[in-house]
Amino acid sequence: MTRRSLLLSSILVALLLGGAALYLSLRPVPVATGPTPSPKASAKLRVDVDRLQVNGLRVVGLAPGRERDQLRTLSVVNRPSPEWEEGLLSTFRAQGGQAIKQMNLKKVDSFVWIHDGLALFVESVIVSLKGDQNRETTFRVLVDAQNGKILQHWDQPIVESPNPRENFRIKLDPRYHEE
Amino acid sequence: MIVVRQWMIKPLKKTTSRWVRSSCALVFLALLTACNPTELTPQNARSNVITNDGSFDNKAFIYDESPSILGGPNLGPAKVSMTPFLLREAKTITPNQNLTANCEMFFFNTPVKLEECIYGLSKASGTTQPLPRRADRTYIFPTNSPEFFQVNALYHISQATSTFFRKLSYAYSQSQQLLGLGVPKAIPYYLMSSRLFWFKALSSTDQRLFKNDYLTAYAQCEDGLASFDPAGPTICLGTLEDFPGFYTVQDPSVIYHEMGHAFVSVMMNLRNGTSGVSYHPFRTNLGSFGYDEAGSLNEGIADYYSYVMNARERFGEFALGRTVRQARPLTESDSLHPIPTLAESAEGRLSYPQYVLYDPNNPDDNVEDIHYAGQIVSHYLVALTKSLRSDCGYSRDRDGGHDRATSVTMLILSETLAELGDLNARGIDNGTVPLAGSNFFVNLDATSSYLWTQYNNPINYRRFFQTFAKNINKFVSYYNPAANRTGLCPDFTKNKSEKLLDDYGLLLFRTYNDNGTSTKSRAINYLSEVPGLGVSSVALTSVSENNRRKSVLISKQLIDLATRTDENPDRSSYYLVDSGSDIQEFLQALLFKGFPVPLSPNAAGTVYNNNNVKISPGEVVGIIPNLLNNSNSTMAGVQILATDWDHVHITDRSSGTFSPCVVDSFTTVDQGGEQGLTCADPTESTYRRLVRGADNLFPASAAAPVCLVLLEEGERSRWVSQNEFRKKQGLNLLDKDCLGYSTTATSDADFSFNPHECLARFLPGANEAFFSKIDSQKTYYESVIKESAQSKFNVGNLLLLEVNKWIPPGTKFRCRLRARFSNCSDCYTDGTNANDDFIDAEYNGARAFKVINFEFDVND
Repeated sequence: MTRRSLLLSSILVALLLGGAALYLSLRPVPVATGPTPSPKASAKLRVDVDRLQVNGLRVVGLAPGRERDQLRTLSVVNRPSPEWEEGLLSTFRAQGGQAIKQMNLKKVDSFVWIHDGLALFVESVIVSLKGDQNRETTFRVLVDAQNGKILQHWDQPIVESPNPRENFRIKLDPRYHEE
Repeated sequence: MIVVRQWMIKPLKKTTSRWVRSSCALVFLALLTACNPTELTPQNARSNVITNDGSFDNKAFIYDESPSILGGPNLGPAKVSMTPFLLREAKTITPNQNLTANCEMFFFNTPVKLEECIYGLSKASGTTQPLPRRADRTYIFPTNSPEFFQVNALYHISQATSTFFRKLSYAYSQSQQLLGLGVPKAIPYYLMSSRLFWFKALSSTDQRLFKNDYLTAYAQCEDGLASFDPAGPTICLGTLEDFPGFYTVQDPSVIYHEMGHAFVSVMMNLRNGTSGVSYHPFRTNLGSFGYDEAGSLNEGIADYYSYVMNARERFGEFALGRTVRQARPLTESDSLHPIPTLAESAEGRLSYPQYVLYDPNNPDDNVEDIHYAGQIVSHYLVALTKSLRSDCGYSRDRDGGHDRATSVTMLILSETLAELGDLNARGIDNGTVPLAGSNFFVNLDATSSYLWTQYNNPINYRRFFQTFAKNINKFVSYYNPAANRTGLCPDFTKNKSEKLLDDYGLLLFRTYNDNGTSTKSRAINYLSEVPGLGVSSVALTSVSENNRRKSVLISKQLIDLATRTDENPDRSSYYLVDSGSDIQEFLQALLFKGFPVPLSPNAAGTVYNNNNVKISPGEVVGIIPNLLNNSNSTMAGVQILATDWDHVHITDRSSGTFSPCVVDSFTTVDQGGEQGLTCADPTESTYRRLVRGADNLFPASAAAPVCLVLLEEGERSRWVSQNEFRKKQGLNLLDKDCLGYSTTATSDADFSFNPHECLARFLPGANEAFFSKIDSQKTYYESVIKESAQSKFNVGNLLLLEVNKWIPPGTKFRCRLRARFSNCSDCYTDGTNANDDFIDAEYNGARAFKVINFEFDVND
């Protein structure tokens, strides 16, 4: 075997190995199953039945007329963590990408929210975003106080466009109606 | 006050020649006739050229109309000096020592004052401190200066606000007069203590409801033409790049329009705080992204508010008309309408749905936009105001009855919006105090009310005008001397009201839905909660069908996905957008409209989009269902929902595994469907998603995600939940590899995660689509997009579907979307119960909708 053919063989093997590695890295690989995270048993909560509060926070979503009974057995499944903020910002980054130039969060309220049969510590937040092309927006979100997951959003701005024809629209793929 | 300028011509008296003196005097006088003291002030120099003897305290010179109105229709728009248009008499701007305004609303004779409820600023990037009053105690700044425009903006905003409070005070007093008469009403007695007549909220907790407890008004924003931002709250009056020297603030009608949006926001939330300590955590909004009828209503009401303020039957002549030819008429008689058949007559009205895409400035181009569709609303409201003027004897007033008629219309508007926007879900009170029982009468219940107002039973033209007509009947037309009560104007009869609505094609309902049934049980009505009303029963008021001529109602059975046929070989059931850049651009547009869409970067993303017009693993794709109208009339206000709903029977509470209920002929018992058990029960009266509870179990009954997946088990195939599929198909996906699973650096717990949308899900925030209209025997594409000059879809037409990257190619999905439309005969009532509307709980199921089965395979 000549030195040249050896070199060529080495390159070929390297390419094959590299290709295989790339294929393996990109190919969907089933992941070993694990236990589904389950709600952890609530740590000790300070429940004030008279004031309808948990840990000094009001509780929203109690059934009228049964508030105190409900509160006595309430289990709040998450725990507030400062990570909610980064969790929320990463959601915006995933959606807005490079178009976002500045993000501001203003926490305006914290409470316990009973929804979907779950009681969660939540944060009510005003979000202000600045983007490219002078784009700005402000709106409100309610997020999980542990991981920043958006549970509700509201109070979007009403922006007058000078000419509705110039609003952002979705063009139809020409492959749908090719002559 | 008249300003005499003798001191300006004094030097002329020193000239020796009488002829020269006279000529010079004449020239100077001619120049000065168009002037006022502000003009005499050099830019940024002394402004105390007037001698303020106290009569100018807190005053400034303002323009009360735009240059188009005062200087002629051909003036502008760029670099128009406001100097010639200033009123000769200075007006009071504010009694405060800086550029802020106070709010005051009367509750009968008791005033409630909110100090500094409006801040006048220049631009968002500038100072946050309001401009101080000048040393001479005036607000007279050089004309056309930033300070001048701030002063003018605050003046017009204050005018709009004080007019609104005057009319809301009237509405409040009329509404409270119904207390004790057995008539329910929505404007709460406790509004005085909740203070939700303004953005300034509960006195001790302002910061919890708003960013600021005052409205900030920017006179010269850098961002676009104009906007209203309820989270601020902020009004932004901007400019347009193509027209240097043009400012929106120069056109007061646009200021009134933006304030109209602000007042809609206030009126919709009148009931969402009950006292100094109790308020709902959300606020209601009227409108979403893209085209929808709630947004169209908001625009129409905002246009109408311009009419309330200036009594002119056209809006935005300068700021919209002179810039982009987009001024909007408010009556059919306006010469802006190029269509000769439009007239202020029964036959000539700007009717629904014929004119939902109509731009009077480009009548041949179909454009789906809330401002165009909103013209039907503004035209109706102006026509109603005119009818009240003539039928109620108001026209004898000095102003022709404008003030009284607009007050009555604003009463009806505020009652309607207060009821429809009630997130506490009561709609009424127990006399002067809020209801406290377990029954709700609007928007399902206090927990799910936001979902109901925005998605499940949103405010469309039918719902709005049904409630509006109910309130006309209650406050205006009512006539029953025996009951010791007549309305404000019995001569504007129920028949007249229904006919006028029908002239606009807006008689979209068969009853007034006024029998007060609870949202969860037809057997309960508000009398059980409010025994003190003093009446023994509540009757359901029917529409007189003789009044229905234009308002055509169509069965929901006649809407479906389009299919390819021999006659129509190029029809598509849906359009798919899977270009990564297009979807990314769409996502960014949504975000900057205030609609966050939480993606699943762990399992999908636009980097997987391959633009092959097929659905592939890992993609985020836009789906535009192409709906077909099989009827012989135009359908309008078509909404398609991909939100969770009650369509499954849960068979295992530990995993949440379910069988889909048989709701149509698509999913049969043989295919895994269930007909009995909880599927046979009435729809769940409480909305709860299929997520694990605190007891680590799934609920016995819940609203499930829309997408089922086909599981092949030997000879049998059945539609199952995605959670069951991933476990039985050997995918071995952990929860954290599912769509919609949120983790942080130190915690992998996501308690609101729904494992039944692990593989494919419509993204929250983009799981509803809206379509303006579908013509008879046509698809949506053929009715609107094909006919438009741009051939582009509105952003509101898209649903966003996220597909897990771990899905094996070939996997089949069936998503059960739900469709309905505004002029539907059986989407809101099915003819039983004397045509009474469905109760709110029924919007949790299939009964009020046509189920649209959207099917797809995942391709490699």
